[in-house]
Amino acid sequence: MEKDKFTQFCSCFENAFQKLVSQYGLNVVRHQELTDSGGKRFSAVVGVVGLNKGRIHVEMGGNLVKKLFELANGEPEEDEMDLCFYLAEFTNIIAGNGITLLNDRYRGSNLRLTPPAIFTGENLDITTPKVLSTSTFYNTEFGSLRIEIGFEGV
Amino acid sequence: MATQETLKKAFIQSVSEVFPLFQMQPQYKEEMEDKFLTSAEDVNVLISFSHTLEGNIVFGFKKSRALKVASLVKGLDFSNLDQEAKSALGEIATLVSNLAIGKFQVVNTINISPPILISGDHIFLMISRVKTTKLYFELGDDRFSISYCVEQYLRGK
Amino acid sequence: MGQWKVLVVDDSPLVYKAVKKALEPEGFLLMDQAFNGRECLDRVSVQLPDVIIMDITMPVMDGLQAAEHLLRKNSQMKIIMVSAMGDEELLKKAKRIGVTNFLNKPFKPEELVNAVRSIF
Repeated sequence: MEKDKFTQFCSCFENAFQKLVSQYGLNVVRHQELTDSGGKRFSAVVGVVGLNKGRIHVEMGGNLVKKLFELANGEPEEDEMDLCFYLAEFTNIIAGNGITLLNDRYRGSNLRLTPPAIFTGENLDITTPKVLSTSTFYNTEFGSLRIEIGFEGV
Repeated sequence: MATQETLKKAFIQSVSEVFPLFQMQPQYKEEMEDKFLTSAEDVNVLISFSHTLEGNIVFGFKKSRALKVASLVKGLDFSNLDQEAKSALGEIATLVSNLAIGKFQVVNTINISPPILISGDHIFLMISRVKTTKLYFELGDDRFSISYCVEQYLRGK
Repeated sequence: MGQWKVLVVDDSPLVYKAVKKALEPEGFLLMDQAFNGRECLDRVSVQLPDVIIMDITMPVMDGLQAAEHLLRKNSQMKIIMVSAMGDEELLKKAKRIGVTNFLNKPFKPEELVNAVRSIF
């Protein structure tokens, strides 16, 4: 994939993310790195298949995913499953909105998403060998999050 | 249509065909069914697929076993899970997944995503909103697992 | 006429909660959630909803497939598709099948209420 196209891809996912968090009224600021990478983390991975292959990875701490859940649902979660379902939906919306923009911009790409996979744990390290990825970090008052986008052949 | 039994057979056969290429002889041991969130190993390789069938496959290894498998795949001695070792695990997981999907797909229209390595402590995973099947294989003095789910059989045209 | 019955077909329990929260105060009656297209077809064969709010990407049978089945049997069926994906090709497919409306996720509660109200 050409660098220019990859940059456009990243920008489409960034727009989708900004649109989603703006609906929550959450103040989100871009940052250089994760400011709270310790403790239990929640990660969601959605694969992109079609003309270009890649994946979108969203990672955040427990506090932030709880807060986002509450903002989206108007009440706190009942259990950790709720948080996992929520993160799956959150990532699906960003990835789905992102590839909608891309499919309309690059006709014939026929990009589709794979079902989300959710991981929770400590010291999580998530990498895609041989895939160039770019990470964007965001800070909120409830913790930080990372969106990592990687595509083959960039 | 792929049934649970053909999926299971496809994975077991593919493991028995691919691992010996790298001097490993795993033995299939047992199957378990998990719902939603399930405990995972220290090192996990995620492969996702989409189109006529959709789903996720996760290969789970203990860290020591992951290093041994990576060493045999690459013919190098790994003491850390570096990029090369991760790449080796991704390669063998992709080989098994491609072969397994080749065995159970009806038409050649399944897209497979690049492998993703997930490592850490006290990991739990949720790869499906329906049930997840977990196959255990004995390899040397420990085990590794393949968890998978096939989420979609019918897709609108 | 009594309360209008709404069937939500989505594999996420959270979407059901959100729809319930938006529509119940407006006087709609929420049927039990169907988690995929197949469950939706089974449910509709027993109890006819007035409107179906259906996700596209779901296990077992997706929303487009289920909508196509339903509308072939009853072209008057009211179906609102909701999806995070909404590229032109997908919208064309939904239109060709005959779905009533298409809502992009994430949607605001008032957008959903308006989409349902516009049907009746």
